[in-house]
Order: sequence, then structure tokens, then C-alpha cells
Amino acid sequence: MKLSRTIKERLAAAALIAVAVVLLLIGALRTHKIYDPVTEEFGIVAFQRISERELVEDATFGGVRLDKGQLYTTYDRTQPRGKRTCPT
Amino acid sequence: MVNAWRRISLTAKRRAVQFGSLLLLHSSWGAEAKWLCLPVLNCHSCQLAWFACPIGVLVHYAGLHVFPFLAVGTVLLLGVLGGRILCGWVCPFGFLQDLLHKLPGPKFRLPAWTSWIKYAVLVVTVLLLPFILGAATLASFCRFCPASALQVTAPRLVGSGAAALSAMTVVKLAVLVLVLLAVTMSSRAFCRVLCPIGAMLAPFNYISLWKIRPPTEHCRQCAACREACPEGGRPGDRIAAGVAPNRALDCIVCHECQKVCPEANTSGVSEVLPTKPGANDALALSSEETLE
Repeated sequence: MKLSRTIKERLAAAALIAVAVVLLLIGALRTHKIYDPVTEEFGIVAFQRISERELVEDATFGGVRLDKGQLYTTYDRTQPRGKRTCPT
Repeated sequence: MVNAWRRISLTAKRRAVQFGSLLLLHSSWGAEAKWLCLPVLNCHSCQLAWFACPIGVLVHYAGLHVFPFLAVGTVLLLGVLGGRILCGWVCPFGFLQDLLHKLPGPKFRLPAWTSWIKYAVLVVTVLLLPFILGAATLASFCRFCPASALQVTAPRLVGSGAAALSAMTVVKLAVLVLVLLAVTMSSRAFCRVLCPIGAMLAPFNYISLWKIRPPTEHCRQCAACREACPEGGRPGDRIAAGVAPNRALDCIVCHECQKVCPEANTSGVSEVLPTKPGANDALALSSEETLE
């Protein structure tokens, strides 16, 4: 069976939409471990889990940094945040 | 109301949408949605921006060695739905380029090969270098992004004066000036040559659900569409082959080729109103068309 150009385009589009939905679902459900850089007391490393949404904002405003494969926060997460300025 | 909207030319509609998006994208006085990427060149560091820039997210996620599921999923979804229609109708920096190109002065078209540069820009300055050197590298796209220079660097310089001046600030502003000069002389030069968002969205033009219907079945290769194409493309080749004109990497789905086609305009497919029942369907911005 020979598929027309339009059918092929729509099949490809449908497949990519399915992939996009899967990516968005994973993004909505995924969490990241963010370590506190200063509270290593008695060998216990403190961390908290943040959602992908929070990481998008934190990453783009320099709120996390990568060190030896782990993400570390760069600010006090207990304090309320307002609008943030550009790190670059 | 509907008739009044139909009477407005396609170009005027596009300008209205571009102007509206410029205002809306920069209207965040309090709430923000900067976890959501909108694939247009609009710096999320702008205090009034609502959304995140996908390039900024990719640069920083590459630096953190984390896969950006939300950003990639959003770009993929919007890319499949509309291809580069956001470039033509929504992107504020594209709107600025369209306006600047209206200024009088020398005009020229860039050679076709220059349109491949943006893919290298995407791979090298958005993905590769930030991944290897970290998001803060001076070689990332954000460091010389002209939209960021216009929305963030220049206002900060005005507000803080010489205190905000650094070598990188000077470089960033110099890139902005060069880009603005280039787009004055060559239509959409930045989109065509450097824009990494355009590079990300371009492949989706081949399968996007948004299709520009070929305006005529009897193309006589008059090249009117080629003259009208802001990207310097060759929509006539695809129209002659009965393929949607936006099935090309550099098409920004502006519909100008459809508007200027003399064959369409003399065969009952007018820009304003149809002269026979159903003729206006050719101008419908629909995804329901077939090309067989």
C-alpha cells in the first residue's frame, strides 16, 4: 500500500505529538534532588526534592549549580522569592 | 464582525498579532510562568517576560547535565502543530526585524548557504559548549543573544549607567547593533542565519499540521511569491509541484506567498473576500487540507 504524502506527514506528526506528550508527562512528574551546600553535619547530607518546573526556573536564574554530578542550591530556599534578575 | 476581520489584509492581521504578542509577552507585572517555554526569542530575564526562553533553558540544562523534558516536550508539541508559525506571527524579535527592514536604505539577499549557520549555532553554543564548559561559559548563546541585549542588558545599562558596563556587555551590545544593521538591509537576516530557535523549529515545517495551501494549481513561475518571501525562499517551486509552500526549512509561515500569487487572485481566490462560493477556503489557515 502506497501512502500519500499527506498521510505520511500526518503519521509522523501524530507520532511526534505522542512523544511530546510523553516528554511533558515525564517532565510534570519528575523531581530532582537538590543538595544543601552547607549543612553536612555528622556525615548527613541534606537535600530536598524539587519539581521539574521549579528546576526550570532555578536553572535559568542560577539557583542551582552542578558539582561532581550532583545539583546544589545556591540560595536559602526557605526565604520567599520575588522576581529574579539575570545571572548572565 | 467576521466580515470586518475578513476584509483586513493578511499582512495587517499578521502585524496585529505580532504587536499583540509583543505586548502580551511583556505584560508580567506580578505573576510569571517562567517554567513554561514559549519557542520565540524572548529573554526570560526580562522583568516583564511571562515565559522562559527555550534557548536559555537548554543552555542551563546542558550545563547541569540534565535532560529538559518540559522544554523539549513543549517545543516538540508546538513545532508539530505549527512549524515555524511562531517565528512569523508571534516572535517579538521577528516583529522588530520586519519593522526595521521597512526602513529605507540598501537591501540585499543573503546567499542560501548562510541559512545553515544557525544549526551550527544551535549545536555548538546552545548544547555542546554549555555541556562541556558549564552554563556560565562566555561562549553560550545567551552571552551574545541580541534579544537579551535589547530586553535586559540595554535597559540595565540605562538604569545603572557605567557601573553596569563590562567587556561582555560591550560585546553583547555590539552584536545587537550589528544584527539590527543586518536586518535593516536583509529581511529577517537574524532568523535566517543565527536564530537557534528557528533551527529547532525548522525541521517541523515538513510535517506540521499547519499547512499553507498552494494558492494555485496553475503556477506560471512568475516569481512574485519569491519576491514577497521575507526569508528569501523559493515558495514557487513547491507551489508548482502542488506542495504546501511552508514545507521548507526557512519558511516562517507568514502566508505572504499565498497573498501575492496573481494566479490565485485572478482565479476567484481573492485576499479579501471570495468571488465565488468556497473560494475563500484557499486562504483558510486550516490544517484540514490535502494536497493530492
